[in-house]
Amino acid sequence: MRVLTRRHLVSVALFGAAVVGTGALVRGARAEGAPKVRVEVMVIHATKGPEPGSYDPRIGDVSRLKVPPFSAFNTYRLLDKKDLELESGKSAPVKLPNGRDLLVAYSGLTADHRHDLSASISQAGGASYLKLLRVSASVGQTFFVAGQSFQGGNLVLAITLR
Amino acid sequence: MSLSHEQYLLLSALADGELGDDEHEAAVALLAESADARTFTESLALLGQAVQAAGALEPAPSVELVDAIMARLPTEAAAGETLASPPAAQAAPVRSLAEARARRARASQFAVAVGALAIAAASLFYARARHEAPSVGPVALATPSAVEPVGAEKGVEVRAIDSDETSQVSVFYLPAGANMSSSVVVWIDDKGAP
Repeated sequence: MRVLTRRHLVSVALFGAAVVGTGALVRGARAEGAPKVRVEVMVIHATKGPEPGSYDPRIGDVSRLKVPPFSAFNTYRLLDKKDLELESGKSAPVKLPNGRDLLVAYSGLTADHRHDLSASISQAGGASYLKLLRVSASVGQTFFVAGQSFQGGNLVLAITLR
Repeated sequence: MSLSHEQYLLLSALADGELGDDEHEAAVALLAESADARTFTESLALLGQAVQAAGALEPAPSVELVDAIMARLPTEAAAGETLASPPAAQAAPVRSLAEARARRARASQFAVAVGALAIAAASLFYARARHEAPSVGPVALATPSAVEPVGAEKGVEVRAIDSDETSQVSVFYLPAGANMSSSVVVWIDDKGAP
């Protein structure tokens, strides 16, 4: 019978530690491997009211809302604000005040390391208002989806990567 | 006891099966006439059984000890010593002590390398875990400065649009401004609003 020496025991212990350490490293790499992004969705009601109009301070920077095509309205009020945390291949819905559903999907990074984001808007009965809008953008950038009639004005969806 | 030294030797040789015919008869005659001879012979038998039992319980010599013994054989043979094995017997495989030492050295180096790998992997994972710890919430998020510097030239780019057939889609590009990259507005004429 072969006698287990101290060297054998140390070798076995080190090998076990290597297996555990490598496994932990692989798990960490997997956890970091999937791209993630945080998306902020602001649902804004745009109307044309008496001059000079008003801007909801909760909207933040409104410089974009003072140029065409948004300059057709002079009053902007924040109706809802959602923060979505998306991993690559995941999507999240946002309920709109007109009964439609906005679905934001994240497809990961593009070849130039930007974020591949999609948006679609469906209405009751399964019909699609916006079948698909696919953009590439970087963190900090905003794109808008507008044009839905709502209570004498329009709905403006401001979608920002955070 | 009343047995002589020569009688003890005779009984011991009997127990070992080393007697010729004449000596064997003498030993048997001694056992027949002497109770001390019988007692001594029985003691030898018990001792032999005890030695065999102890041999069965004793662990086999370690491989390293066998290796060391085997490694010495060629040297002794070269010095002119006669091996006890019969000429017809096939020579056992012999490994040199230097080879055994080299093998153990390689095993030790491998163990050290594996250990270093384990420590490095654990350290790296621990460092990553500590780095991620300050993040709030279940998802680690990149800050704007970590992904793209402020004032980056590339703005939002539309890659695809597909809308309802009854809707009219317009895309407005908003130019870059101060601390602000270019953006897009997708305006969809809401003819099909419920």
